Amino acid sequence: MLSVENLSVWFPARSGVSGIFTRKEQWIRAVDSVSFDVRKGEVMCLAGESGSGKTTTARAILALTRAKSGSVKFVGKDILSLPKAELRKLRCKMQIIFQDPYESIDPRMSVLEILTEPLEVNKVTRSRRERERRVHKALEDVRLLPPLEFARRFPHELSGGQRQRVAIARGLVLQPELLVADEPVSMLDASIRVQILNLLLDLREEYDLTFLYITHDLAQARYIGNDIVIMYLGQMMERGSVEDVVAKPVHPYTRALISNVPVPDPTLKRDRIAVKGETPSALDMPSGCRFHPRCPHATEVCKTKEPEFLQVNGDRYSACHFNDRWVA
Amino acid sequence: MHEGVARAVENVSFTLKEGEMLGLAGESGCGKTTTALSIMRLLPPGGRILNGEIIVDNEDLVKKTDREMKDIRWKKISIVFQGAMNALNPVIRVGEQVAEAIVEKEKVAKTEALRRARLLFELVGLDSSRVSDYPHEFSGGMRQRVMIAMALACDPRIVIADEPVTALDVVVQTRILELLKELQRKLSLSVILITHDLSVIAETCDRVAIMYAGKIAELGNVVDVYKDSWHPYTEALITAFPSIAGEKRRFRSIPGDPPDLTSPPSGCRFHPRCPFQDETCRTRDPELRKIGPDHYVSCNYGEKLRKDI
Repeated sequence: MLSVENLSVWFPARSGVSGIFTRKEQWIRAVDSVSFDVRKGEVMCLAGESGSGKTTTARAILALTRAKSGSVKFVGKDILSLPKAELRKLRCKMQIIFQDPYESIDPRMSVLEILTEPLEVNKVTRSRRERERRVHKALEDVRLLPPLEFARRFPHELSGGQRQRVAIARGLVLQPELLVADEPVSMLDASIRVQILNLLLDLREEYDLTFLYITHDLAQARYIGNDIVIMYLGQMMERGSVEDVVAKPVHPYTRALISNVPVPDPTLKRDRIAVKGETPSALDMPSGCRFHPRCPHATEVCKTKEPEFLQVNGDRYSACHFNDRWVA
Repeated sequence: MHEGVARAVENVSFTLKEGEMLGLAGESGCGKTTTALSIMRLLPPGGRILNGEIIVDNEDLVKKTDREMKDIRWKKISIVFQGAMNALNPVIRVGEQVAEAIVEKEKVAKTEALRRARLLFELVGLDSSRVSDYPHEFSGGMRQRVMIAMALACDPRIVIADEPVTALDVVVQTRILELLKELQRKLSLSVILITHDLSVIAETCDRVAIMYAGKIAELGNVVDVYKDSWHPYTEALITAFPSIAGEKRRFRSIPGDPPDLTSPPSGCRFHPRCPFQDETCRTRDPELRKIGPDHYVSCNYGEKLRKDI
């Protein structure tokens, strides 16, 4: 369904006045050579902390941000080289749900207007009746019942969870095949999160939807995902099935990350892997392996040579010079 | 447009022992921050403490005048506000910002205050030379350490930390929480940790109060509350919390939404979402009662439910 190959997104960096005078081009390598495949009906998680490039990757996949190089094949077509008109049509099949339910929907539009807008803009329906039918169905799908009641409401009359359901309904109304969800539950209360995660899983089953799920929360990724890509400073550190990666991580970064994720059980003894420092700025990209300044196992080669993203076993890949050492 | 009186905190009672870390857990709007602000007597305009006592070292803070509170704030109890690390003044060196609190409260000269600021930096794991840096030169985790240093500036007995690690990456989160625990030990500090994140509380706090719609649903030491939950809300919340450990399966979510506090539900505030609710729950608002040596619950059916669950 979705095949991303060596996708890179670089942003030009300019520091003040000197940027105009110097010829040297500085680049922020926000996403560097990311590759993964997502099968139809599966949930691929792009996981990583702030500055990892996960959101930029998703935006590049949807062609909302210009990629520097690489390819994104969706239903057989390369999105990055499609002419505008064709991309427009394909966009209907790829929809996005954003993180902030308070910012992503227009407060001055009624729910009906919010959900009708994509249909009108993309001219996919032929009558008002058909538009209403689709809106009605979308509201039913996200369990905002009765649909007529919610259709006439405005965002300020809805709770956070309800707004997020409207955002999801908006994503469904064009009957997409791929849904990109960027931290869709991170701003919601704990008791609502599972509701929305379950809703997404139900929708996936019902419509055989494919998901690209972006999150920093590995617990969410484990709950909803099939596969996962762990990103750090724009690169893939590890990739594999989410259950395996969480249970038996290979890459030192993944291992450190997982050991530091708290669990809601005061009796569980944890061995925490300490990681020094904080994620550096993308302008100050470390040489060699990007994780080396913080890695407890860094050696000379890690400082100078960038590791390759290699197969460890089965569908598991990891980018560490010492992959073999970490395989359980 | 909503208008009316929001009963933000209702009948909240708990004790905090010396050197103990108490977690105040709950979702947005449950009243945890309002409780904290009440303790500091820093409620926003329109907010009023209607009744109750807040007793610190045998003194009731509710009865204190504004002037008296000025002496207590920061010196006896201090607070790290939610998002405070992003509210540092960008054009003033951080050491000075920490020193400002000391000059104001302890009435010492600036040089002395700066000296203390350097010591505080060491205490929270920052290089003392960094007092002359600006906020933008610090990372998120380090700025939070500055805020903790600021909260400790006047040697308080109690520190309230409101969502101290929410905006931080998970590896930094661990370090900040470890710092708080270390300070708790070193200084016999009592800490109230406010957060919606149940996993943070499980791993850091000694005791926890689970709040819902302005009331305490369950209170006790973390092991009892987490492993032997009595309140249906606690139980549902903990079991439906996605985790990287434990069985991978679908959780049943709590239906509905948290209530509007301007018109809370009749009887038990949780009843509309409770799978066990009945007539009593719709009319009788349960009180917090003792069910173990350090375990309290406010549910009309605590015992009966234990047998059924």
